[in-house]
Amino acid sequence: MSGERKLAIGALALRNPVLTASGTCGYGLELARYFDIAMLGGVCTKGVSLEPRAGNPPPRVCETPAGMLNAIGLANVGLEAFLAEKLPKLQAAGATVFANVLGTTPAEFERLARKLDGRPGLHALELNLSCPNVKEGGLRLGTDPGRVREAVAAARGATKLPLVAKLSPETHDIGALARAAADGGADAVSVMNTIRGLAIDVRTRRPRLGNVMGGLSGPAIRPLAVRLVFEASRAVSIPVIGVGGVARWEDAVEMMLAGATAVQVGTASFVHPRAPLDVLVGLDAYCKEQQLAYHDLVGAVCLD
Amino acid sequence: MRILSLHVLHRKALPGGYAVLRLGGEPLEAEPGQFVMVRGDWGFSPLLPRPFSLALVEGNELTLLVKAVGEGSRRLAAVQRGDTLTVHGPLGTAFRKPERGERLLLVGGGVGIAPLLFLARVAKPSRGGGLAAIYGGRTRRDLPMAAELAAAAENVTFITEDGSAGEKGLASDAMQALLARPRFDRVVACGPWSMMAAAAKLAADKGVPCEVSLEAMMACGYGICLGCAVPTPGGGYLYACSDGPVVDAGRVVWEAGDVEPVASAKPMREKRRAAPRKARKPEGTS
Repeated sequence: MSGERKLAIGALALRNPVLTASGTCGYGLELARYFDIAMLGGVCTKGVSLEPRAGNPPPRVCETPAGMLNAIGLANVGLEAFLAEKLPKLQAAGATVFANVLGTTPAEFERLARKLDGRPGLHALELNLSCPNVKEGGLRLGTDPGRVREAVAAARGATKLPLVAKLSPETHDIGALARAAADGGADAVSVMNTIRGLAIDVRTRRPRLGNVMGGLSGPAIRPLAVRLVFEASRAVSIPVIGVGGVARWEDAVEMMLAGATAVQVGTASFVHPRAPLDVLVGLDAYCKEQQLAYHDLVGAVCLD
Repeated sequence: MRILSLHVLHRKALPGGYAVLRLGGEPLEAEPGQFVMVRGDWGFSPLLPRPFSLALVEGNELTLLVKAVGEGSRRLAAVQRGDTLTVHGPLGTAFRKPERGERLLLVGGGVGIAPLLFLARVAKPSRGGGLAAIYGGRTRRDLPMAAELAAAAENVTFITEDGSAGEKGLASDAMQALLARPRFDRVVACGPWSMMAAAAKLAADKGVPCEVSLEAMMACGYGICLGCAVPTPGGGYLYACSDGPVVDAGRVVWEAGDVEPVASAKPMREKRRAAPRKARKPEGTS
């Protein structure tokens, strides 16, 4: 492998392979109170929809072994407020911004992409094709390769920004979803979103989340994410961004060995606001010690 | 806010699964009402830090009141002197600083006494007005730090549901009696949802401003998980960690019910299966 190869998503060169995961860093600005977010490879914002969303009734989160369930319901300020209030501050902070966008139909993804195209301070779009439990779009869209291709293509036709398709783990064939995204014109895929789970309080005999089911995240899901990254990276030639349970630098290295070109740090930021930076610092120290470029790690798992 | 590595200087175990922890090592500047997220160094499970209102901050030392409920709080209630804890804070909003001559009525339930105790201790030297408190719990075991409260406030009514300490009844019963005469400028409440809901209503009926310190399940404590949603008038939500925990009681839809339902289930025999909760419109997770 060549150490010369640049770390890039489409035309966007990343300074390093550590990003934040959407839904776990607010709009990035919340983390900026703890460290310089410009140091990261990228900041993936909370999913932004055309209109503001209030989110689900509480309780919205509960703890599970080495992880948690959430049913936030994609609460967000909406596209207009994102552009007016959040993006300028992210730009001022010098962050590499991936706006995670949330549509329920290809037409909505097209509108979102069109409205975000060419915005100063915005570097890429991540299409949320995989939120569990959304009535329209969400999993129904995100687990059907045909619809994934359609949604990505719709966004592709509306923007020149690098496009990342965030895929669902709730499939028997992640390779087919990744290929569909690539066919639609995605420059990368993020693997994976949360997987649906359920927790029940044995005293009240009620689900522990107001929305009954929620997305499972945290270290508990890491082996699943590593497996899916491994499979997806063998199915497509575009970069795979590994997401799911990355909490320490070792987890980032593991994801990259499995085939990830970059990683996103998610739930770990709830536990420690500096988690993404700590992962980056540890990864850099490892690469220096091993005298490796980031790219040397990608897919370098030994299988013989 | 900062992320501190603090040592357990002292742990006082109390009956009922409560413990008072005194932590120290680095300075923290905080105001009454603010909270910290606390976690021990125990690997990935339990994963999330737990929120605790500050019961006192003095120089390099802070005091927390812990009740063992889940795995995380159980471990925190059982720490040993010398253990290291990661403390993230101070977070959230504080109580309004008492004005000169302002007469406060503090209404606390169980562990909800912690931020009120901090307020009472800070407010005391500058009061001139008055500082009365009502402290309620199920039993006498559920009045941790009662002696500290008695020392910090000038007029404390203790009340328990079983009458094992103080009067018998609910904090709201005692509040009704105290508010019968209009001599308070502000009610400050922290405790179980039902207690705060009652306090909010009683205060509103009397036209007395009421501040509450909210508690909700949260993952992060600093505004990124959006887990700690509390319903507000108009159909939206506020976030207990960053819009609160201290908010004006009028900003909360109390009728929406506890954000952490503790209602006991019907006996199994009465109904074989728990009645399926009316499906709330799922909007999705993220």
